[in-house]
Amino acid sequence: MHPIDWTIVGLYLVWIVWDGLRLTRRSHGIEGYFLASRSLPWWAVGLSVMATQLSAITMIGTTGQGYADGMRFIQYYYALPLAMIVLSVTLVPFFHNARVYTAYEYLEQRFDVKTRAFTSFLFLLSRGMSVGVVISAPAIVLSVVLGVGVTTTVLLIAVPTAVYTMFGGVQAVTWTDVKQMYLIVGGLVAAVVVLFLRLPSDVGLVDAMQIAGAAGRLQTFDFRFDLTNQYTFWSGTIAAFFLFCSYFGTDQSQVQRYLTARSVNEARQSLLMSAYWKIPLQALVLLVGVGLFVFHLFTPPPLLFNPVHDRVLRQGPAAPEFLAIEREYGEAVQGRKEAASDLARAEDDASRAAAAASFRARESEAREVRDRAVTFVKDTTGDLAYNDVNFVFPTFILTWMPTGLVGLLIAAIFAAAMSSISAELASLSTATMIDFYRRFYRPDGADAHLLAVSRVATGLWGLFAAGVAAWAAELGSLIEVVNRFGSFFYGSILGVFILAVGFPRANGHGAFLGLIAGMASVALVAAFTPIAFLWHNVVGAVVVVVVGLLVSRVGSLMIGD
Amino acid sequence: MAPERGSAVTGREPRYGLVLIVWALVLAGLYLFQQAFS
Repeated sequence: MHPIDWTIVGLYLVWIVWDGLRLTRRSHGIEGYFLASRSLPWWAVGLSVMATQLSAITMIGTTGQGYADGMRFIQYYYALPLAMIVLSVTLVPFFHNARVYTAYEYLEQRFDVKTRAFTSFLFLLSRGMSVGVVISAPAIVLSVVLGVGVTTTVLLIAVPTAVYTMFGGVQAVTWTDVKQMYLIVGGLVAAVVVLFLRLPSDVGLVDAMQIAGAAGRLQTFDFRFDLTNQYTFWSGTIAAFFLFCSYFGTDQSQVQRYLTARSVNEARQSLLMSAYWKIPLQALVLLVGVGLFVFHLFTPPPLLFNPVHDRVLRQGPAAPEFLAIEREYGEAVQGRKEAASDLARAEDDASRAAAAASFRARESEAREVRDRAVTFVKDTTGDLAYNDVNFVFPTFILTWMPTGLVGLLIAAIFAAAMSSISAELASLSTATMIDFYRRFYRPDGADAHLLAVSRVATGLWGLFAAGVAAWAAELGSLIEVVNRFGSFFYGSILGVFILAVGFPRANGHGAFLGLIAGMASVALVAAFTPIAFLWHNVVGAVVVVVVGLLVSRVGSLMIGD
Repeated sequence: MAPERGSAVTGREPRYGLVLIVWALVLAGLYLFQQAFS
């Protein structure tokens, strides 16, 4: 990377830490530290909600998914606006009126302490693990750029974020999120522009879209009802609806964002910002991936995007076979390029249809060779989880973006990571302090004492997350890993909140036993059925509600209600 | 009188109908986009 780009990245890191730290003086007491004294405007909270959801995994994993699989993933977000409306009408006013710090605190007011402590513990467990994965994605990018170990890059990301979150509290989290969001969107727009400028001069934007469409990369609707496939219209509208209700309604990393809003209506407005903008933003991210696919039709892609595996195979005993596959891939890619050019030049419908058919055939040939190469990598290196889609966008940035923009894009990846990590660290610290430390250990602790311990808790969570990230660095397509992990608990926790808000007769025992039954059901479904993980949210929520109501009813009958 | 913090006093009532209309338009746009280039 050019020294100018290093300077840009360095300036970004220094600036964001300074920007976060200067807000330390606004963190008076724990309400100031954790909730900004419930004083923030809706637009800042709304950008913070979006920045928290959009992590570096979105920048790297989703663009890679767009490259390999096209726009299909967009369907995952179709239910998000509906979930935001439902939450704005239901949970948001309950949380605000209850004046809680955490979502789980509300469960004690409604049910009992064990339900609160258990859901909060589940949050700490799942979010504590997933924040490590959120750190490891950009750590992989940086380790490739710097040629240093992943542990070093993990610390480079985690330490500055932990520092400004630890001292600046939620004020720092929110206001840095706002700036990071601008940087991320600016970086993505720049990437789209450069991608299309890098296409051959005789391939226009419409041609590029037609080629991508012919390769099936622009599919935005798949109406097949298939429970084993999570990227269909039905998964995206039904199953993902439960996921988003759970994520935005019961995950402290998001609930805490809108608890900082200065009124119920401003909290609602902040959620509705995502309702308006999330699908277009996700389309932009996926379009970067599609653009990368079209770009690499005309500029030959490497056989392997992961340079570490490439080097190992090229220099190892299996080099002759690897080079043979590489030659074959080169020929297939050349054939595909010619077919793509023919398609771009086709002038009438008949010749376009013939060129599209020929292009599709060449594309499947190239894909077949590439799949064979991936199998070869797995067999030869023993890395059975090998998947290099996360390297596609970073490779493009470093190889093809102009000096200056490289630094901007790398800084944007940092920003995406840090904006999610900071909110997650703050929420982990809040749940630890409010649901456990203050609740069980120091219920009458002085504000200054609680504030000091809160800062230490934030720092310790930062260290824990960095530790998890260090060994979670190589996990294939990271976005699914994070979502899969969350889905194990998410639906069930949502079920508890549905019982709390929607069923006045549900009681604490019902909610608690329902939660255990919901998680057990998800475990069974995950272990013994091929049902896609997105649907686990539905299973968990429904089982909790049904079991919770039954147990509540039986309990009422036994005590003669 | 200054708005009370943490209450429903500040901010205007969200327009849920408008969210639904925009949502439907975005999905329709994505569907047309798919059809135009498939």
